[in-house]
Order: sequence, then C-alpha cells, then structure tokens
Amino acid sequence: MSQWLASLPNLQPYGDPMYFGYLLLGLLPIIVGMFIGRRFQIYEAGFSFVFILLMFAGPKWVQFYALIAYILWQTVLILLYQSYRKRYDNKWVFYGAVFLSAFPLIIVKLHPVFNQNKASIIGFLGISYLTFKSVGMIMEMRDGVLKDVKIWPTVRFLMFMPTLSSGPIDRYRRFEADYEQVPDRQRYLDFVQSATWNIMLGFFYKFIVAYVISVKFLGPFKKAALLEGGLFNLPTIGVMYSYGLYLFFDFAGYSLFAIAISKLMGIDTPINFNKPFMAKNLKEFWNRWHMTLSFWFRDYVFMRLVLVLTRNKVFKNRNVTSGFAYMVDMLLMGFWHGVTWWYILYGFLHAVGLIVNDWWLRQKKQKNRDRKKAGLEPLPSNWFTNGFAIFLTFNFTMFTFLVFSGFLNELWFH
Amino acid sequence: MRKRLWLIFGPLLCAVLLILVVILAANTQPKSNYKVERKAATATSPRVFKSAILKQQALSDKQHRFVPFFGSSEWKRMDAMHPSTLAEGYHRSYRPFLLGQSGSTALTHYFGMQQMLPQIQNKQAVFVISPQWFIKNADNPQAFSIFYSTGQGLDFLKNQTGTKADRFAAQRFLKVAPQGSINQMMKKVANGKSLTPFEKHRINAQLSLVNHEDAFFSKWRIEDNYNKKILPESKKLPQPYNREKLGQVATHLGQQSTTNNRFGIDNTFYNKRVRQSEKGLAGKQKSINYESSVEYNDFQLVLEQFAQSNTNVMFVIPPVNHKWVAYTGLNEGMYQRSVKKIEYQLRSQGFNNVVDLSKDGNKPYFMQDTIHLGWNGWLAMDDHVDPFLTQKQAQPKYKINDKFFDAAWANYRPTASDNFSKFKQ
Repeated sequence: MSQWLASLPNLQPYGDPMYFGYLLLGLLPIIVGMFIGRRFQIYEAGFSFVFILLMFAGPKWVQFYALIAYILWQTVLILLYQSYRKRYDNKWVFYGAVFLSAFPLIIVKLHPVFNQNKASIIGFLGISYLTFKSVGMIMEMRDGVLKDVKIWPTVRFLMFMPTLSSGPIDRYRRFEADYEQVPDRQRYLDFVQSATWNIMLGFFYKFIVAYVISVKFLGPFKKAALLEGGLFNLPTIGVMYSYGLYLFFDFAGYSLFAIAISKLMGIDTPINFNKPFMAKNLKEFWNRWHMTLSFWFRDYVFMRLVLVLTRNKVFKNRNVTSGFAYMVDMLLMGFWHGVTWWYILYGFLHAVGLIVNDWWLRQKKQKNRDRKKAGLEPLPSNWFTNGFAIFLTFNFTMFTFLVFSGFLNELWFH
Repeated sequence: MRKRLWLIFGPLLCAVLLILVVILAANTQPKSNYKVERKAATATSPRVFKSAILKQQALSDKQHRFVPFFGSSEWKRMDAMHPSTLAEGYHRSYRPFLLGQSGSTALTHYFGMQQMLPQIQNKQAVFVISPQWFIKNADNPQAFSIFYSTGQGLDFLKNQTGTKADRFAAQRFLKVAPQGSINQMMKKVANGKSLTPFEKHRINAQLSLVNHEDAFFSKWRIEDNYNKKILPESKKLPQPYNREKLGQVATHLGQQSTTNNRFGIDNTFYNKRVRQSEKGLAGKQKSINYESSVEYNDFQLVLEQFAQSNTNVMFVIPPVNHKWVAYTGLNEGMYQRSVKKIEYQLRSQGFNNVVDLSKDGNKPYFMQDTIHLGWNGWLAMDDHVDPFLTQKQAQPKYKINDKFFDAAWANYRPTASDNFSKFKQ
C-alpha cells in the first residue's frame, strides 16, 4: 500500500490549472445529480477519497496515514464525549476532551521547536483546519446544541474534500443541513453561477495577480533587502507591501476555489474574505480577513473567555476583561500559526491593535455623547476621515504581515 | 433553464474559444524574417533559448546561414571582436546563433537541442566548452529551470528511442527538472520502458499546443543586442579584413578598457563584480576542482546527440585569466588536467575539431575579465572558427563510447600524463 501510494502522482489542491480539469471531470456526476435533486453519497465519498488520496500521494504518502489516524482519533473522541455528555456535564471532562482533540495539533506545532525544525510525522496538510472543526463540535456538544451526531456524518464533515487543506472553516450543523437538503434547482443554479465566477476570479487572483507580485516584486525586493542588510531598509518596505498583497491574493484565490467547489457539491461554504483592505479599523478588518478563522476564534475563544472572566469576576473593569481576552485570543492564534517569534509577535501586535482600537472607539463615543449634551455636532466623519482610517488600518496590517512573513528573521539572523 | 445556463457559461465558453482561436492561429512555421532572426541570434536570453520557433525559424532560413554557437556567459561579452560582430562587420557567409548564458551547461544544451534536431542534422556548429561547467554540484535545478521549457521535454520524449543516452538523459532530467505533468513519462523512459500509443498521442497534442503558444508569444520582446551592441561595435573593425591590423585594434581596445586594475579585467566588470569583494577573494579558489563532475556524463549526452545528428562541431576550450587565478589561487595543474579529460572525451570519439586555448590565459588582452574571452582571445578563436565555417570541411566519423555515461568516468581524476586506458573502447 505504501509503495503504491508513493508511486502515485501528487496532486496539490488547486495547485495548477490542470487540477481543475481533473476536478471538474470527477465532479460531473455530482453536478448532474444536483440538477435532478439527488446527492449520490457513495459516489461523492469515492470522489473525495480519490482526491484526498492524491493530495497525499507521492513523496508525502506518510501524511495519508497520519490523516487516517487523526480522523479515527477525532471521531472516537467526539462520539465518546457525546455519549458522556448525554448523562453528565463535568467541566473538567469537557476541558479534557477539548485538550485531547487539540492534542495532535499541539504536538505537530511544538515538535519542530524541539527537533531542529523537523516536522512531526503525525502532521499532515490541513491538520489545523480539521482541529477547528472537531474542537468546535465538542464545544457545541457541551453547549447542548449539538446532539445525536453519528459516525458517517462526522467523517464526511471533517473530510469534506474542497476545504480539507486550508478551509474556509465550516460549522457542523450548518454543513449537515446543507448536506441533507439538496438545493432546489433555482438555488443550485445560483450556486453554479457563483462557482463559475469564483473559479475565474480565483484564477485571476492566484495564478495571475499573486504570481506576478511574487515574481516581479516580492522576490526582487527580498533579494535587494537581504543584499543591503541592516535592521531595516527601503526594499524591506517593498517586501512588506508585496508580501501582504501576495498573501491576500494567494489565499483569497485559494478560498474562492474551495468555496466554488463546495457549491458545485451543493454545500454553501461560508466566505473567507470580504474586501479586507477597505476596513476602517482593526476590528472591522477581522470581520473581513480570513473570516471563518476569526469568527471561530471569536465564538469559541473570545466570547467564552469573556463569559468565564465576567462570571467569575476576575477583573473589575469590563474593558480590562475584553482587553485580556483579546490578548489571549490573538496570542493563541499566533501560536496556532506556528511556534516562532514572528507568528507570536504577529498575534501580540494584533491584540495590542485591537485593544487600542477599542479604547479609541470608546473615547469617540464618549466625546460624541459630551458634544451632543453641549449641543454640538458629532465629530466629523467624511471621506477624508474615512480615507485616513482605511489608510492607517491598511498600513498597520501590512506591517503585521511583514512580521508574519518571517522575513525579518531572515534579514536579522541569517 | 437553458437561458440561465447560457448566461452562466456563455461568456466563459466564448473566452475559451477566443483564446484557442488566437493561440491556434499563430503560425508555428513562420516565414523567414531576417530582422527577427538576427535579433534572436544575438539576444542570448533564456526566452530565445526556450523557444523552438525562434531557433527553427533562424536555423532553417535559406537566404541567411545561421550557425548555432553553443556556450554560456562568454556570449554576453559583445565587444568589437565578438564572433557575432566579426561575422557582421566582415559580411561573412554565416552568422552565429548564440545559445546559452551564464548558468547554462551541457544538460541545458542537450534539452535545448531537442527542439532543433532537423536544423542541426548534417550541419555545422561551434561549441565553447568551459571547464567551469564541470564543478562538483553541476546539477543545479534552479539553473536548469531558467533555460527549460516544457516544449524541450516534450520534444525529447518524442525524439527518444530508448537508447542508453535517452535513459540517462531522462534520469538526469528527473533530478533537476521542475515537477511537471510529463515527469511520469520521463520516469518510464528512465526505467527503460516504452511509451504507450496513447502517451505518444498525448505528447504530440501537447507539443502542438505548446508550439502554438511559443509562436504566439516568443516574437515579442526579444532583446535587441543586434542594434544596441553588435552593429555599433562592428563599426570599430578595420576595413577590409586584415589580421595584423585587427590584432592591433584588439590590443588597443583592450588597453583602453582595462585601466583601473592590475588583472587586465574590463573596467566596468571590475567595478561591478570585483572591486567590492576583491580582498575576500584572495586564495578563495584553491580548493575548486573541475576534474570530477557529473557534468562529464551530461557532456556525453551532447556529444551523442551531435554524433546522431551527424553535426560537424568545432569545440573551443577557453583559458582563465592568469593574473586573476594567480590571485585567487585556482590550481593551474588541476585546470589543465580537466582540459585533458575533456579533450580525451572529445578526440577518442572522433571529435577532432578542438581549439585548445586553455594555455593562453597570460597573453595580453586575451581575456575580457576573469574567465571570459575578449579582444585577442576572440580573434584567436576566430582564426579557427572562420575557416571552419567558410571553407569546405570533411565530414568527421564519430565512434560513440557509452563508457562516458558511467559514474566511473564522471569521478575519474586524471594524472598529468594520463592515457585513460581504462576507458578505451
């Protein structure tokens, strides 16, 4: 089996235009089924299996076994916790279940730190996105909103091929509802239309814009910056902007593909990006950038933490509570990206940014309230202030992406 | 619903059709166009190197005789004595078609040649073979990918017949080429398996598409070295041709251009590439070795191809700048042994047109910089190349020796007076 797997060609999801040819060929029966209002479950499972297999075929075959073991682990854990939760609700058991669910990911993230950057053998492409899904399921079981989960639906949710490797991160109940209810013809036509558009836009984003930025700007800027050296230099600013834009076009393009393929399979996977660089402040930025990730952190980390902190009266001031929660939330996200100083600093900077952003919004509210009392007009809000806000937010996020890129590490320490 | 589907897919369909029409309308056998050809012949750029159409167009021109000049970074040294300038200035019956740039090596050329086999069949060529190619890690995937286009790989797959050379080339390809859709077929060739009719069909279909794309895109943005360098430089040549006068002009130009350093290196090159790092380079090349390298095997691929195509090739082995290597500590004995090994590989297989300039690195204004021929060096090369290309030559008889594909040959370190008896046929 291993040898056979190693000999197969490796097909990275959405890696090149040819991939879409293979994908559409495999999707054809599913699309026809959708048109006549039916979901061919067995065919769909086979189709997903083949493409997931090819994702990990060739030199990466070890990852295929890691994936299978991981899915087993998560499914057993989810079902065990569900049967426990039917009778009891001890919070420590809940914490334990969450920990065990995140455990493989924690190992994968920590392993390189203690082993000269060598990747752990239990890791595979997409492990962190699967962890979000399964941890989310366990939390919703604790909440009591998720019941009667079965093996097969769990597996097909976790292993949903279009979003397996890098999201967008869906939620079980939403996904399951879509899966069970094949869209009617009008709605499916809407799906097909949006999928066609998204694939074309994704081509433009990923294979043209991101490619050009990477080859014509990012590469040369990096080279020039490294040649000049020092703590900071002009080409590094070029690296900053080109990397930030590259990241957006590459990842947004990828997300468009994943959403489009989902839709062709009759699943309305949520969007991931909504003009992030038009955000007027950092809070809004996180409602527009990698949305399914930030919403996940908002719902399953931030809100819950605020709730616990408030309930236990940890801080007297609720602004301190939210500030603390921002810090935990964003640092955790930093660690999730990888245990390196630049990812963690990236999380820290965003936490500080969000805290300052909150403070500023409070100040503004207070000022406007005072001005209203005094019979004055509210603070000006016009094209200039809005433009300035967008400009400021854009530049702050670009700077954090420079940190995120790890390029500074190369510039300073190599 | 049909209207809705048309609204969704109609524009897409139209776009795809439009692209296909535009690409397929491009002529893959363009008529001779001397202006385009002479630009392509002196561009030395990877874009031209990768384009089957440009190479074929020039090399099959009936009115103008372009001769492939294989080499690497020396082609960029376009001074008055550069082969292209001499051919232009003296209106010779041939024009060099320069192939290669810094980073190109034997394997690059082997795959580049696959795109023009009919054009080199029974013809002549010049090949500057630099010992610098034969370094320890000669197989650099990054360098290879600069000069590689899918068309080359496809043409190779189409041309190959499963010989030992073909298998070896496929194996080498898999080591250095980027991941691509043809790697599966390459693997088959490397393992000595034959391709299925379906695969052969696929190769032809893909090749046709690739060539149409090539025809559509390649004629744009060819570097215009012809008008910028070759033509103005050719004005400096004394008319009519007089070898003695030419030597004086070369020496004079060399003198003028090498005034800011003690190595006889061109001023601009010295300023750009040497001045800053000069101190650090003292004694730096002591441990460099060109005697054992997989490049010797790759070079055999090229020779095998020339033999198969019955191409009459003149090989030129350039020297290194003596003042410079005295400073960097490059081992002259090692250099000469590597030249000896190259020459053995050539002559023992019947490649007897060898111009060995390797001992001339101390002649005045022979080198333009550290390792590249210039002024008098170009003329020394021309003394052999011009008669070779303009006078009638006997067709050589090659006898290919597959032992040169072995690792034993690649790794073999010759002695100063070696007779290579181990590798006799």
